[in-house]
This record gives sequence, structure tokens and C-alpha cells, in this order.
Amino acid sequence: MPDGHKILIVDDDPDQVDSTRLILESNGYDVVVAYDARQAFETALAEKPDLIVLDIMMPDGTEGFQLVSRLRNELPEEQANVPIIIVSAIHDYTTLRLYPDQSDTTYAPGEYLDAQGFIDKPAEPRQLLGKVAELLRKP
Amino acid sequence: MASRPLETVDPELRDRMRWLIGLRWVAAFGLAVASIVSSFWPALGIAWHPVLGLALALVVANALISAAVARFPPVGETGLRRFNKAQIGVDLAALTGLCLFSGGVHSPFLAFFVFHMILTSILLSPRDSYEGATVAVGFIAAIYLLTDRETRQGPSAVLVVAVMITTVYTCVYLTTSITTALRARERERARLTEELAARAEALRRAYDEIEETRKLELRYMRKVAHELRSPLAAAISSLQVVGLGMAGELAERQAQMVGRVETRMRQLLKTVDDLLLLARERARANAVAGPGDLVSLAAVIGAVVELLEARAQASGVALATDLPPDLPAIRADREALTQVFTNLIGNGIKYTPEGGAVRVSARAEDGAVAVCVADTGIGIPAEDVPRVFEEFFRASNARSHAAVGTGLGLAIARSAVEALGGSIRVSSQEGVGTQFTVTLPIEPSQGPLAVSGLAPSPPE
Repeated sequence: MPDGHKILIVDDDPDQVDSTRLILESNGYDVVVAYDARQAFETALAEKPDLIVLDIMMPDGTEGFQLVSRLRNELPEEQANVPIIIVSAIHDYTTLRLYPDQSDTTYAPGEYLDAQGFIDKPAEPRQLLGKVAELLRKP
Repeated sequence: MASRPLETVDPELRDRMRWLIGLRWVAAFGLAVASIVSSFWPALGIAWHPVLGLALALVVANALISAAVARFPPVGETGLRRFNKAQIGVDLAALTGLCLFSGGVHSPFLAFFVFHMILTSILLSPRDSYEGATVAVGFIAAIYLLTDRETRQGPSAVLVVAVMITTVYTCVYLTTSITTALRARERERARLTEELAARAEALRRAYDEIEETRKLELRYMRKVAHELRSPLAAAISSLQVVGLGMAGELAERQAQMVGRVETRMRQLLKTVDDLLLLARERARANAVAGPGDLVSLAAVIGAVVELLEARAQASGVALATDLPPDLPAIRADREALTQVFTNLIGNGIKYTPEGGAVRVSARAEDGAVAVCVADTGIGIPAEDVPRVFEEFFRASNARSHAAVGTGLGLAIARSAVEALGGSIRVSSQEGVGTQFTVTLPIEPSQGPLAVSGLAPSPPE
């Protein structure tokens, strides 16, 4: 059983937050949540999570992308490398990628994002837990 | 006519202006030679003193004209026209002088008036040329009147004047009619060139607009995808949590019902995904075909096979590939190709019973590559074969073999293949197996400027 690692869930959909939270909590993780990018950054700063599960498509569209770079650039040094797992309703499964072509600059290419995992919604609990455990094992 | 800077004026007109100056040097030289020859040979009937004077005067005039051109280049078409008119006036006056000193109305140099009229008609508009002809006629009349009485006595002098006048006007008429036709043709050519440039520009704009529309379409589809999938994903996640007992233990019957709901929700999600894919492939088919990247088919098929290997093993189906090492790369969209072969190979695995096999082979054809996905599966009833590419169509035996399926996979594959300029064929025997053959051009014929409406539609 994991040992009380703290995980931050960022998602604007409260139902999604609840089920992800249940999955993680029932496996022994501590969970903190945020429902928008601003709150997410503040929570990350205050709670120092060991890992962040981030929904990339928040209402403003680019919010999730900006949050990733903000976390990487503005968090204190010891926190800046916190692992991030990106979950999205439109990433790989539908192949409606975040970056349909190079000329479309509205969205950054998903693969270029400084994140350690990409999972499509609905996230399979086993897949999510496996990825979380894998990233937390790393030094 | 709006006056334009000299550079944009008909370059021929400008060159002729310089040409006239050059000719005048030759004329002045000729006059000087004529006067010197006459000084030794008075029988020629040329008064050599005045003619030498005339030659000198022409040299001075021409020097002034060259200086004026260098100093104050005539601006615009009107300026150039006026300048050429003045030059011709100077020349006609000089010619008149020459004629007066070389026999008056009987001077052989009178014929040069015709030469000057040809020049005038080439250089100036028809109207200006007739004006010039009238001035010339005035000079000829002056020559007649200034010729001494004895010389112009008799009908021959009058005849010379009459012939000269007729010739001058006829010459202007003939020359201007030719130059007018030539100029009209030149103008037409310029107009056509301009029109062609305008059309190219319009085409480019249309292309940009299509590109813009395509981007908006993609953005819209992404939004739709998100709006449709997000609530479904949230619902499925919640059901999973309940089903797995993470929100409290469930009685067996409850767990069963929750599982059933989850299955149906997943079916719905799959349908939504497939519809989105189909819409995307349709949009791609209607979009302007860009030049595309060179894609290795072997690599794409290899990646798909690797991805589906686990599924094949779980179903007890052997998955094999037979791709020649020299298979050419093709110009296509990698994602679309991945989609096509995922659907075809995935179908093969799905509809092949345990112990069967799915084999992917490829060969290069004339300017194209043919990829064959063959399975030893349940096959398609003959009456259903023509309909397998229809949206939502599932063969009768497919429905009983696998409960889950949207009937969109093959429609998506066909849309994608056609968007790539290729074609897809099916042959099948019920109970024996099915074979799909995808033929893709190595270089799609549509250039970067091909607009969907103009592109030939792929054969059905």
C-alpha cells in the first residue's frame, strides 16, 4: 500500500474530480483538488503535492497548457519537477489530437508538453494507478 | 491618358525617341557629304553653301535635343508624344530647307517626306500622324511657292505637288492602320497578362480561405469532441468507481446492474468516437490536399500491428505481416494511414475465430502501393458485401459474432483512403475469410493548389 503521497487533482468537472479522488484515496493516497488553473497553482505552491493529475482542456482552452509551463517555471526549485499526468477527453483515443497540424498554433503540441504521462478519459482506474505508482517510485 | 513616369511608358516609344536622334546624326553627316561632293560637282544642282549650313544647323539642333533628353527627360506619355512631335517638326523643316537648296519642287529629296511620314506614323497616334502629314503638306506647298517662277512653270511641278500630297496621306493611312493593329494586339496581351495575374491572386485567396475554414472546422470539432466525450467520460469513471466497490461494497445484483450500465455507456462512447472520426475524415477529404509528408507504409503498419498484437493474442488469432523491404514511401498523412490500418486489422482480429489468422501484405504497383489485409474469419454474406462501407451497416453474421460494434469502422477507413487519393476494395466468402485491398498512390496527383471542387472525385 502506498504511503500517503499527496496528489493534486486539477479538473473543472467536479464529478470527474470526485471519481478520480475516490480511486486515489481508496488506494491510500492523500488528495487535494483544484477546479481551475489559478487555484491549482496556489494549491500546488501551498500543499507541495508529490504528483499532479491535470485535465488539459479547461474552459479557457489554453489554460491547462499555460498551467504546465507556469508550474515548471514559477514553482520553487524543489517543486518545479513535480510529475504531471495529463488526462484529456480529446487526446489520443479519438486521434483528435491537441495539435492537429503544425500551422495551428492555438494549442501546443501535446507531446511537447513537459508532462510525464498522457491518459485519455475515461481513465481506467488500473491504468491511472499504475502510472501514478510508476512516477512516484522514481527518485 | 494619365501621365506615367518614363520607365513605365511603352519602352518601344522611348527607344524610338533615341533612335530618331541617332538617325539625325546620320542625316547631318549625309548632308555634309552631299554639300562637299556638290562643291566639286556643281552639275548636281545642290547649292553647297546653304546645305553645309543646314548640316551644321542640324548638328546644333540634334546636340540640343540630346542635351534636352539627358537633362529633362520627357515625363509620361503626353510628354514623350509632344517631344517626338517637336523632333519631327524640326526634321520636316530641315528637309524643306534641303529641298529648297536642291532644286525646289523638283528636288529628289522631296521623296524623303514619305520616309518621314512612315516614321511619324510609327511614333505617333493616327490623329497626330495626320496632323504631321498636314504640316508636311504645308511644307511641300511652301517649297512650291518658294521655288523660283521659271522652275515651277508648267504642269509637271503641280503634278509633283499633287502626287506628294496623295502619297503623304496614303502612306500615313497605310502605316497607321498597321501600327494601330499591332498596338491593339500589344495592349490585349498586356491586358491578358494582368488578368492572368489577377486570377492567380484570386485562386490564392480562395486557397487561403479554404485553409482558414479547415482550421475553424478542426477547432469546432475539437470543441464538439470535448463537449460530447467529457460528460460520458465522467459518467463512466463514476460507474467504474462504484463498480469496483471504491464507494462502498455492492450486492452482487447491484454490481451486475452497474456493470451493464457501464457497458452501454462504453458503447455510446465508442459510437461518439467513431462519429467524430468519420466527421474528421470527411473534413479531411474535403480539405485542400497539401503536399503531405513522405511516410513509410511499412513503419505505419508495423506500429499498428504492434499495438494490436496483444488483442490478437487475447483472441487466439495469429497476426502476421509480409512487407517487402523495398516498399516505397508514399506521400500521405500518417495519422490517416494509422487510422485506416487500425480499423482494417482490428476488424480482421475481431471477426476471426480462435485459431485463425490475419495477414497483412503489400506490394508496389505502377505508381501506387497495394496493401492487403486478409483474415480467415467469418466472412461477409454475399448480399452484404456491397454495403459494408455504409455508415452504421453491420453484416448479419457480424452482429451475432460480436455484440459490440458501431458499423462505422469501414466507413471511416474508406473516407480516409479516398481523402488520400486511393481506393479500397473488399472480397469475401462467408465462412472462409475476408480480404481488404487498399491502393494508395505514391504521389497524390492533387497539387498544393488543387481546390476540392476542382479535384476529380476518386472512383467509387
